[in-house]
Amino acid sequence: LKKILIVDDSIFSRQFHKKLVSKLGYEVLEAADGEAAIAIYQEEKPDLIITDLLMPGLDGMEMIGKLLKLDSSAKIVILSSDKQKFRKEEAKKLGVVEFLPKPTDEERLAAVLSSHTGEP
Amino acid sequence: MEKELKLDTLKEIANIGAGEAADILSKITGKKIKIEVPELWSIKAAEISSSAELSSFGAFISQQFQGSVNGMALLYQSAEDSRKLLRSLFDDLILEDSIDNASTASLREIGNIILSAYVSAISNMTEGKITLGIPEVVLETSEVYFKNVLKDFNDMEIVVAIKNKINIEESDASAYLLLLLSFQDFELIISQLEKKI
Repeated sequence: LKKILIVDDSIFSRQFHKKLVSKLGYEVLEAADGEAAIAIYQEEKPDLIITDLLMPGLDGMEMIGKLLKLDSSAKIVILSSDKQKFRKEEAKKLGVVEFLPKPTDEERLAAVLSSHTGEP
Repeated sequence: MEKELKLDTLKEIANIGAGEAADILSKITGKKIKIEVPELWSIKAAEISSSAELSSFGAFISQQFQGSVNGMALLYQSAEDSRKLLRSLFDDLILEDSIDNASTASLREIGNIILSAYVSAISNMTEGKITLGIPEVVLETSEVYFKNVLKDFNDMEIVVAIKNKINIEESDASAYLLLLLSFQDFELIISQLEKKI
């Protein structure tokens, strides 16, 4: 199975999105913050990362910068309630493959995962 | 659902609401808005003022809401930050030290737009119908303001309060979004969202 790493400090959000992603047939890994996400990424090499931006400690943007330095081919999707235009522009410049506003629905998530990882 | 997960769930909803509010504010001001991680308390109603830690005198723009969930949404800015926000919107507007009637009307309108976006996010997430009341602007100290607000919440012992700080970059001004819910309404929101996880 393709592995998807979900990074979010909110337990509710992780559980909600884990349910959606698992239902689509992917294996789900979870991290509650940026530091943990980097550690899991190095060990598990997931096929795609879905990350929140607003997190205590290492926030989403900082984590993305660090991850892409470690592996420029990492596929990262931002899933955030902060959907300001400048955020989307920053994300694009960094090399993020998609920016999804929270809350997202199953159809949209399925399309993004399928387009960047292929079938589960 | 465990209490920790319940509080986390409400924080996430407030974050989504704050994201909508920040997006709108960014469009209005043309500036970047930074959202901070929210703070949340389940406290006695009388403790709101001390827990919220809002600095002295400022502008409180509030909207009661009712329907599938009842509560109050608030936008607070210190008097100085309200003036900074208004200056950033109306470059040619000469503002006196005090906040005059025209400024109050502008704050009411801005507050209405922001709070509507904030509450709509909660309504959408819970798949309920929520109607917003008329926005009110009060210039007051935090202590006096909350003492008056508590009159509306006086039959409740415990309230759930959540605070999101948003910073308007370049203008160096901050604003706070607050959501006040009775414990009963908090449980109503959670029971709706429990079904989603």
